[in-house]
Formats: sequence, structure tokens, C-alpha cells
Amino acid sequence: MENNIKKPILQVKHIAKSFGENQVLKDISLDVYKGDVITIIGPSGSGKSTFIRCINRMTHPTDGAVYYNGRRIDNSASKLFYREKLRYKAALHLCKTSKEAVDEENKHNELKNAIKKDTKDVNINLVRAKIGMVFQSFNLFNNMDVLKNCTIAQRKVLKRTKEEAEKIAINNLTKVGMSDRINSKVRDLSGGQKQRVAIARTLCMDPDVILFDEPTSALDPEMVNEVLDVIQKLAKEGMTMIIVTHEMNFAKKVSNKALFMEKGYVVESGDSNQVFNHPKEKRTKEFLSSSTKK
Amino acid sequence: MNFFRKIFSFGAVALLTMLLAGCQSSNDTSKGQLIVGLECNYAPFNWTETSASDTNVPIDGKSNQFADGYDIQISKKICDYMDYDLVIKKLDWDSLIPSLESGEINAIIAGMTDTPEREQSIDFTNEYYRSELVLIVDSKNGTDNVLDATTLKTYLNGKAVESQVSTVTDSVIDIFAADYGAIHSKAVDSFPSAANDVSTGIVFAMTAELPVAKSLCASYTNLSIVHIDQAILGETASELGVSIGIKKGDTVLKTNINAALANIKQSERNDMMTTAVEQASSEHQLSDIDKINYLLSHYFQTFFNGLVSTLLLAIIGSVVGLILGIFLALGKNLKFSKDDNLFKKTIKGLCVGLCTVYSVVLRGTPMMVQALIFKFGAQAMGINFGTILTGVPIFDGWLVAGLIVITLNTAAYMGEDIRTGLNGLDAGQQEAALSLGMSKFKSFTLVVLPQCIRNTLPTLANEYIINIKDSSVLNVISVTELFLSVSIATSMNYFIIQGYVIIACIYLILTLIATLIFKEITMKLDGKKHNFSLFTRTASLFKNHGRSKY
Repeated sequence: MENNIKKPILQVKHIAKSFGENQVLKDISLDVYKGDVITIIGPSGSGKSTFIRCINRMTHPTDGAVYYNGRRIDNSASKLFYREKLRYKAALHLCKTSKEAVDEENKHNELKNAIKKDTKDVNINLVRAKIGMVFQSFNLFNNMDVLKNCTIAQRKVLKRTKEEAEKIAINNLTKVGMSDRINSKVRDLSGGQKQRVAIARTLCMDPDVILFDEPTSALDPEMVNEVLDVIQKLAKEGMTMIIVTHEMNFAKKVSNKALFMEKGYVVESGDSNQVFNHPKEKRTKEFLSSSTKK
Repeated sequence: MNFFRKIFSFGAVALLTMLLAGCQSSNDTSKGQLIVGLECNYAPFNWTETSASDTNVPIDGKSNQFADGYDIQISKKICDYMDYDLVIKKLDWDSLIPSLESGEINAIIAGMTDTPEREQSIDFTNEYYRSELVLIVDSKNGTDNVLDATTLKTYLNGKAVESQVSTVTDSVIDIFAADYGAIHSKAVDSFPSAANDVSTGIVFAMTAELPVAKSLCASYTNLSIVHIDQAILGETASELGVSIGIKKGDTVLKTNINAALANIKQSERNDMMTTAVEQASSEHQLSDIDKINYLLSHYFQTFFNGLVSTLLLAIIGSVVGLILGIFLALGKNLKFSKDDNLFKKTIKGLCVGLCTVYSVVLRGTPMMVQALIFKFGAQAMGINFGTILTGVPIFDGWLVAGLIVITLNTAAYMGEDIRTGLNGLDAGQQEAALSLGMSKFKSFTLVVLPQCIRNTLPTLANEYIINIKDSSVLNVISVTELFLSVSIATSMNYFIIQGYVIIACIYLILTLIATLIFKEITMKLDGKKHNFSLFTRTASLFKNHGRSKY
């Protein structure tokens, strides 16, 4: 109940996403509060990655809204204006008296202003800087060394000085245990090391939330733990995170909320202990038992 | 600024204007100026010198190049008579008639013979010289007798004879082939090349007009002249006279020039020709090494200017071409998104279409053809590259034209290279940059482009090396680069082979240096330390040397 008093950092409202005929997300909502660690589990192709990519607009949702600190950040102003125009035209046809038409016009203008206010002044680049993202395939910049990977965005986006940026970068690289490799080339690192640098790179932007898109799926089994340990450390420090993962034991341990998705729907969501240990839905039970068996 | 706007707006419609070139307005001379076009490479009628003398005339639009020869002396006499100023333009043989038609020049005084075919496009004045047609053969086959119909038959039976392409001396060989059993070899590009073929025994004989033959034999000591009975030539004999070509319908100029010619007596003409032949053949008989030394010492400035021009063409062409190529690649790679409105879709479609057409057309046609279309297109639009940049040492306006052509051409190739690089790059790189809050522009310039350039560097280096070599085709629009500098240096002395050997060495050195530099850059970028010797590295260069693109 306490959480309801606080305002959520991120609010996802009824988003849907289609690629042509293929609808991969169907009406998904999620509230993220400060300090939440939310894991998203589910079989491959259930839309987990697409969902978190909609949060920082790496993918444009077809429908629904995403709010960051109360401001709408999905790029849908033109779409909303268009829909409102259609609604207004249809409503005008139904008007019988001129008074009704005037009312309808006032309503139309009000709604337009509301949309304008809702979608105003959002610089997606600055929002993205505050919503960090860690990718399955690391995506470190191959043309830069480890330190430059961590400083470039600080300097070019946050306009920090070189000294400041390097200090912050070294702090964060120390946190992920990579401070001895600051001058290494990206290609000389192992997968686990690359992913830890990628996490440090995101941390340098002082994000409010970090999105993890299957951070360990591209790693050799023995490198998985070094990355999971770092994520767990962040969780303990109170970092807000949304993690798409197939590591069930890790998910159970680290998260306070969990979401089970299948075929674009949220099958079950809620408290992590409840989802993992006492699932209500039959499909969740099946999935959890099959993935813990192996 | 205005000038550049002109150039660029021209680029788009160059093809169109070529089609209309036939009907553009005539650009007649300002009063009192006779602009004469010639090759400056046809001794003793005309040739190029690199320093001023009492007899020669500076070539318009070229610094440190002067024309001399029989044609020049006749031109001077005509101008004196008419009280005109003489302007000499250096043009390719094949572009003389088009240039006259387009109004770039008023008269062709280049040892050109009046033929019915040529009369279709231009008018001719009376003859200003008539020469005797002779054969040039190896001295061991020589004879002092004047050959008549019978002796010629035995002399030429089954023997190969050649001459310069599209000249009367070449069509005369048809008579020898039809009636005297000779074999008509494929015509070569210049008289010196033909002389070279005779000298090395590739063909038995070549045909030439006496003055030309005299100066050729002065350079090639193992050749000698064989006179033939001119009656054999029949009607073709009249074609051995040379006349002045003028624009069709320009009767005033024709009358004036004819009056001027009537004033020059036959004896005076013969004297002028003798002087010209002596002047043209004043170089002595030297060994190959001495000939190379002679060229290097007398024409060092010519080769050096050529070298600078070639380097400028390759460097500017490649760098600016790369920048244009990046835009071209981006234009071709534009993706349609579902959210685009009709306006955005139309703009994107146009952009993709234009970029695709550009790269298909420029990669699908030879640069030589592009250069010629550019040149004549520009003239049709009233832009004369010969006159811009007057007063600038070493460089002339044609270099600017060459730079534009090579840049536009390279852009098409670089564009494809960059596009391949962009498509080959992992999309995650840009996603990561965007997720850190970089704008699309920043993510492109800081993350995507540097990696793309690094990955395509070997191909880009190859384009640069190709540009060093292929800039040579720009000699068709009189860009005085390295290749053309040989024609200038050898127009009087005919040390052709030696000249080409010199520039072959220069080209080789340029490409080797370029390859070394790019190897070094690649290693720097990769952070590899090399501990093997310079020799092994130089040897490894030959593995992937640039291929020609046309």
C-alpha cells in the first residue's frame, strides 16, 4: 500500500505492438517504482525483448502509452491528433443541433490541448540517457577502448568534462571489477568482461532505471555468474532494474516483482515470491517446472 | 560562390545539354580576335615548346606552354594581314571540329585536309600548303628511285602499311591495298607511333606527308623516305593540300583568310616549311639513357607540373569523393517507415531514386566519356574552363574541370564501398549509442562512421590508387596531368618511349608510396606493432594492387 502513495518512475499503459499482421504485444501495463527489480520471464518469442525495447523507444509501440516521471515519452503526438480528428468528424455527423456542434468543437479543442500538454517537450535522447539499456550482445563500441566506451556518452550527451567523465568511468569500472582493463581494446576482452564494461558504461550516465535484455544469453556458462554477481550487487545498492532473463534461480533471488509473458500477453504478474513459488496460473507452473528441470 | 553554383547546377543537366549541343547559340569572337585550334603535337605543322622564343606563341589557358610550327607562322601572317590578335588553343585532333562548331575556336589551322566528309560539318578556305605523299621505310629497304605504278606493285606486294588514324595518309593506304597488293594495317593514334612501328619492324612502311616525314626521319635515324609518283594517287592527291577550317557559313572570315593566303607566295611557303622542319628536328641522335636525361633536364618543370596535377586529382578526387560518397550511401540506404506521411515518402523515394541512378550511371560509363560530356556540356552552357583561373601559375581551368569529373566519378564508387561497410556493420552498435542518449547524428558520426571507414579502408585505399592511375584519361579534356605531360615533352623530339618510361616510373612510385601509407594507417588503427622489416612490407604490397575501373 505504501507504494501507491509514491509516484512510479515508469508507467507503461496498455501498450501493443504489431509487425505487420503479426501482433507480438497485446495490452501490457506495468508500473515501476524506485528500487524495484522486476524480472520478465517467459518462453522465447513471447515478446519480452520487444516489450522492454518499447520502454525506451528503441521500438515504437503501435498503441498505448509510456510515462517517465509523469511525462509521456512514446512518440505518438501525430497519431493521437489524427485519431482525435477522426473521432471529432464522426461525432459531428451525429450532432443534431448547432449547440451540440459547438460543444463538440469545444471538446475537440480541449482534447487537442490535452494531447499537446501530454506530449510536450520530450527530448527522447535525454530520456534515453536516464533509462539505461544493457544488450544481449554487449554492443560495446569496437572503435574505442574500454575507458572511451564509458566516457564518450558522458561527454557528448551530458557535456561532462574529460576529467570528470574519466573519474566517473573509473569508479564504475571498479564497481564491476574492470578497473585493471581501462586501456584494453574491446576485441581483447572475454564475453563476461565485455558485458561488465557494458553495465559500467550504462551506470556512468547515472540512470534512474536500467533495462537488461537477456544480459547473459550470449555468454559461456562459466562467465554467466560474474555478470549476475554485478547485477545482484546493483540490486543491493537499490538500483531500479527491469531484467529479461532465462536464469530462473537468479530471477527468484534478485527480484521483488516478476512478470510471466507468453504470446504477447502477461499471463501472471505480481510479487516475485508469489509468482515463482506459488503461481496461480497453470501455464506459469508448467513453464517454471520445465525450466527448473534442466 | 556564383561560379560554384553554376558548376553544380550544370552537373545535373549535363546530359540533357549534350543532346541540345547542336542548337546552342553561337559564341562568336569578340572583335579583332582569331582563336585558332590545333593539336600542338604534329611537327612540323605544329608542336609545343616550354619556353618563349622569337617565333612561338603562348598557348591560351596554359602557363609555360608555347606553340610553334608552320601552322603558327601561317596563323601569324593571316592575323597580321587582317589586323587581328592571334589566340592559340591546344585541342585534341578529334575535338577540333566539335570545338569549331560550338564556337570555342574560330579556325582550325592544324594541317587539316579539306574532305567532303569534313565539309558536311565545317567550311574550308583555299589550301595554305600542299605536300607530297611519301612512304617511310626502314633504311635497309630504302630506295632513291621514285616509284611508279609498276615498281610500287613489286615494292609493296604483301607488305603491311599503316598511318595515323582518320587522316588522308591513312585512306591513301586503301589505294595501295586495292591496286598494289599492300596490307592495310590498323591505323595508330599518332605519326610517331607509326614511325615506331616501322622502326621496330612491326609494319613494313608508313605513309606521311613530306614535311612530317622529314622531321620523323630526323628523329628515327634508321628510317628513310621513299618518294612515289603522285599520279598514282589520282584524285586523292588533292586531299594532300591542307586548308583552314572555319565555321559553316562564316563567309566574311573565309573571304578575309583567302585574301590573306593569296598574299603568301609559294616560295615563301616552302621557306617557312623548311625552317619548321629544321626547327622541329634540331634534337640530335642520342642513346636511350641520354634521351631520358634530355627529357628530364629540358622538361623537368613539365613533368613536375604533371605530377602535381595528378596528385591533386587523386587526393582531392578521393577525399571529396569520399565525403560525397557518404551522403550517396546514406541517400541510397534511406528506409521507409510506416509512420511517414506522403510528403516524407515522396522525398525519400526521390532521394533513393536519384542516388541509385547516379551511382548506376557513373559506374556504368567510362570516366573518359563522362569527362567529354562534361566538357562539351559546360561549353554549351557557356562555361569555358579554359578561361577561368587565368594568371594562376602551373594550374589552369581544365584542372578544375578534371577535379570535378574525377570527384563525381569517385563519389559513385566510394558511395558503394561505404554502403557495403554500413550494411555490414552490426546494427547493435548504433542501438547502443542511441540507448546512451546520443542523437542519430552523433551516433552516426561517433560510432557508425568511424567503424565503417576502418572496415572499408582497404577498398578506399584501392580507389585512391586507381585514381592516381585513372586520372590519366582526363587528358581528353586537356587536363595537363602526368600522362599529357609526355605529349608536351615529346611533341618536338619524338622521344615517345623514353617519355612514357619516365611517367611509368613516377606512377609506380606514387602508388607504392600510397600503399605503404595506407598499410601504416591500418596498422596504427589496429594497434598492431610491426617488427618485420620495411622490405617484407614493401614486398607484401604487391599482393593486392589496384585494378583499373574502366
